[in-house]
Amino acid sequence: MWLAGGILLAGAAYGENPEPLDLQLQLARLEHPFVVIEALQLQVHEGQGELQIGSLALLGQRWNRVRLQCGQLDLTPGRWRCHQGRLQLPGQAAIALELEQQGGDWWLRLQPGADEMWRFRYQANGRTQLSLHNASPRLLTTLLPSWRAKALQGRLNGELEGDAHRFKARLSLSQAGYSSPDGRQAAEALQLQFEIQGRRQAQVWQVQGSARWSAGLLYQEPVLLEAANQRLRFAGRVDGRGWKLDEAVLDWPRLGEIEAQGQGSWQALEAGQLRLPDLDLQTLGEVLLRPWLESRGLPRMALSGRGGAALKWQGSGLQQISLEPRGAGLVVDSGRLALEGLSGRLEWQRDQVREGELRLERLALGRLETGAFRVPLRLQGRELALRQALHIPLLETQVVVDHFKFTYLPGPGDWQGRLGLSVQPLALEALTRALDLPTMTGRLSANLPAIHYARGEASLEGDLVIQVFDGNLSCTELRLIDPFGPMPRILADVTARHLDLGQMTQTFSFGQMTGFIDADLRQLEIAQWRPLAFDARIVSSPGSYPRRISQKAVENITALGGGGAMAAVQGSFLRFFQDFGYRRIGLSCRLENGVCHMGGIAGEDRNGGYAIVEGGGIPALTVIGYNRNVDWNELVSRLQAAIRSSAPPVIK
Amino acid sequence: MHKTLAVRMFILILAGLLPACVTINIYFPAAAAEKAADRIIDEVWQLQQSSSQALPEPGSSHPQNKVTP
Amino acid sequence: MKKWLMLGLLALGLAAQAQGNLEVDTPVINSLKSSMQSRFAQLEPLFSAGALGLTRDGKVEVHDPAAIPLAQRPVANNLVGAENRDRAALYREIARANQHPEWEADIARTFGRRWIEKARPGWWVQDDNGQWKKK
Repeated sequence: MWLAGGILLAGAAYGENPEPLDLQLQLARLEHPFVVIEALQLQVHEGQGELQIGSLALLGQRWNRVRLQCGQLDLTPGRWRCHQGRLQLPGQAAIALELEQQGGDWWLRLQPGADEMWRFRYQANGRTQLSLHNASPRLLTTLLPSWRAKALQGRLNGELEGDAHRFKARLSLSQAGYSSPDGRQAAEALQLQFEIQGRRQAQVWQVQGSARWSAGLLYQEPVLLEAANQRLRFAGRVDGRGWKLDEAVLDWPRLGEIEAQGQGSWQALEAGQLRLPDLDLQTLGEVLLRPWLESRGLPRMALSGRGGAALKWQGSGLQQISLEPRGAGLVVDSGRLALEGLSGRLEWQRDQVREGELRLERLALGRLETGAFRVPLRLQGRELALRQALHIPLLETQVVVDHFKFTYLPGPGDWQGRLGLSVQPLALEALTRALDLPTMTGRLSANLPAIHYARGEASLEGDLVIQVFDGNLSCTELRLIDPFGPMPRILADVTARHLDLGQMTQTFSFGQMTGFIDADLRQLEIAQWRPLAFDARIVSSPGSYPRRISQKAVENITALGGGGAMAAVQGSFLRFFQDFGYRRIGLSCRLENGVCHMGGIAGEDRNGGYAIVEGGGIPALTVIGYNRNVDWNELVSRLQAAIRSSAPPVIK
Repeated sequence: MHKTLAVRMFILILAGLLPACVTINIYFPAAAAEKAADRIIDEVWQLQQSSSQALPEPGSSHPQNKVTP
Repeated sequence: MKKWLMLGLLALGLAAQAQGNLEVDTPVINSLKSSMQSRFAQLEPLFSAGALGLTRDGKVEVHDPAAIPLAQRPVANNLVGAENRDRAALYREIARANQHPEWEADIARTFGRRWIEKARPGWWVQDDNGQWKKK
């Protein structure tokens, strides 16, 4: 209809008359499936032409008062040409234009801006060509206002050509950018090269192409991607019903290759799969994972090693995920937790039970490192569970995880889990050496049959028992608060019975004391390996045993008070004694907000002070403390200083 | 007539609202929480000079022990 | 009528009783506070630029990423993530320190209101319906 209209115009225009022609033409309405023109008016006067359109509807858009002026209008038989034309769209700067028609061939040249050119050619045989030189998105956004909001920028160069059976395009986009109105998707200074070609067989177009991203930034909240010469190759087919991607391969330098396949209707994706056969996990972590995790306030993680993954999607949702780490590593919060040499295969399938196994060469929790072990797993729905007990070698013994089961809950509750583990008797010597603590002898064992994790808190049923200094130390009411949060904390009640003071003081070079003590730490709260709170009480164990305290130990106890007090010992006859007898020892400290509220032997407060050591025997020595509120950090540094200066006491 | 209706309505509304009021007020100390929030926000945003340096000065309060023979 | 009045008075009495002071002076709360305090120097210009806003549930959200240069957006996202991690931990810890873990959401909402109340003019905040508006 449009073409017919054109021919009609041409017919009216050139006629038989050789002289310049004056002409006026009016059309009320012209309709075509794509175009509706109303109130068209053509005026030709002395070789100049002007076309006015009252209303133009094209591509779902409507313009009122469109004007096309031709500085020179040539009308000869079989050919017409609009020279030095100007197209005026309402609210837009005029676009310079040349339009020519000869036989069935059309030429259109648009110059929307300086150094910008759109050349369009349509041939009678159906062949269409478009050549772009520095094309800006202005024309596009004029035609498609929904793109206007994206603040498109850039220059497009290249050529497109095709007919009813084939097409070919080679385009390059430079200095391109866009931003969604909310700014959550954006691009800057993009440089893209793009090639695509297609051939029609019956009703199906076979399409293939390639693209290269050579410069610029691409942002999809919260991930910012940088160009690194990523290349994409793809091949597929398209028909009236839908599309099918036979294969697409994205080659991402440093990261690896990503392969995709899929098919869908024009409305929805019907099926798809993504294969990432061999990725560099360090790059993956830096580029994608870290921004994603950190924007959600999760701890910083660094990945290493290589691995593969695959995902399958079908109309109803994700069907299958498989992961295949190959010597992968993970470090959380620069070393709080580290995994090394993770390999194996894990698969999840919708509505199916899948078994997999991971192998780990090393797991490190701070300074504690394990040996290699296997993790046989079962995945079902939203649940990850252990298939068999886990044996984790740790310092010549092992930690046995009898069972664990984690369930992912969509919503704020995130993960919920249960875990049961036991630590087989572990030599304290090895443990203290590994933790860089003074060497202690004894054994540690734990039996925690039910650890529950929910809402950021893990409660541990059972106890941790340490046999140390000939006595017993047990931790109960264990709780882990916010293990993955900014301030992970351990809560516990510790009960110690019959610890040998002789071994203890020797271990910590605190002088020499003989005897036994019982200790209770209630509501102990530890963060970053420092106590935040506890209610502690140390008393002499009941029973009959020798009780002596060396001058050095007295000195250390009193040095906690800032020194000076020892002068009393040094200055008196007491300095001739290496050690003293005592009847009872008692010390209590309730730590609260960095302050230790101290007390001594129960019922032995005197003159506002409290007795820490009650003398007995010959020579007897009583130590009395007066300050009840002590800054904890100060106390610890004094204690450390006392331990460091392990030189024997000076006895003159 | 109208008056009694109004009174009845009032009682009904009161009856409807009261349990809600009770639960909110008893279980969550809104005013105390607001006060606590204000204190913390002032400190984080440094809106006022914080006056809650409750920790004792280090060194000023160490145990002063006495040794008595 | 009398019965209802009695109930009402009872409710008020109980309410008054419950309005003591909340424990907010624990080492964990103090440490979270100082972590947020030092982050505020970086967040403040982003609030002023309209890039970030305060939500009614006591969090920080990216309100207008376009106000941040593209290359800086991941940094802003990380700041928001870290701030919200601290804030969530703070609300949970206050609830826990007062032996009422179930208060967490109420505390978060109370803080949400107070952050918004104390926000400077020109900052973006959410109203009671979750709509963004400029203060």
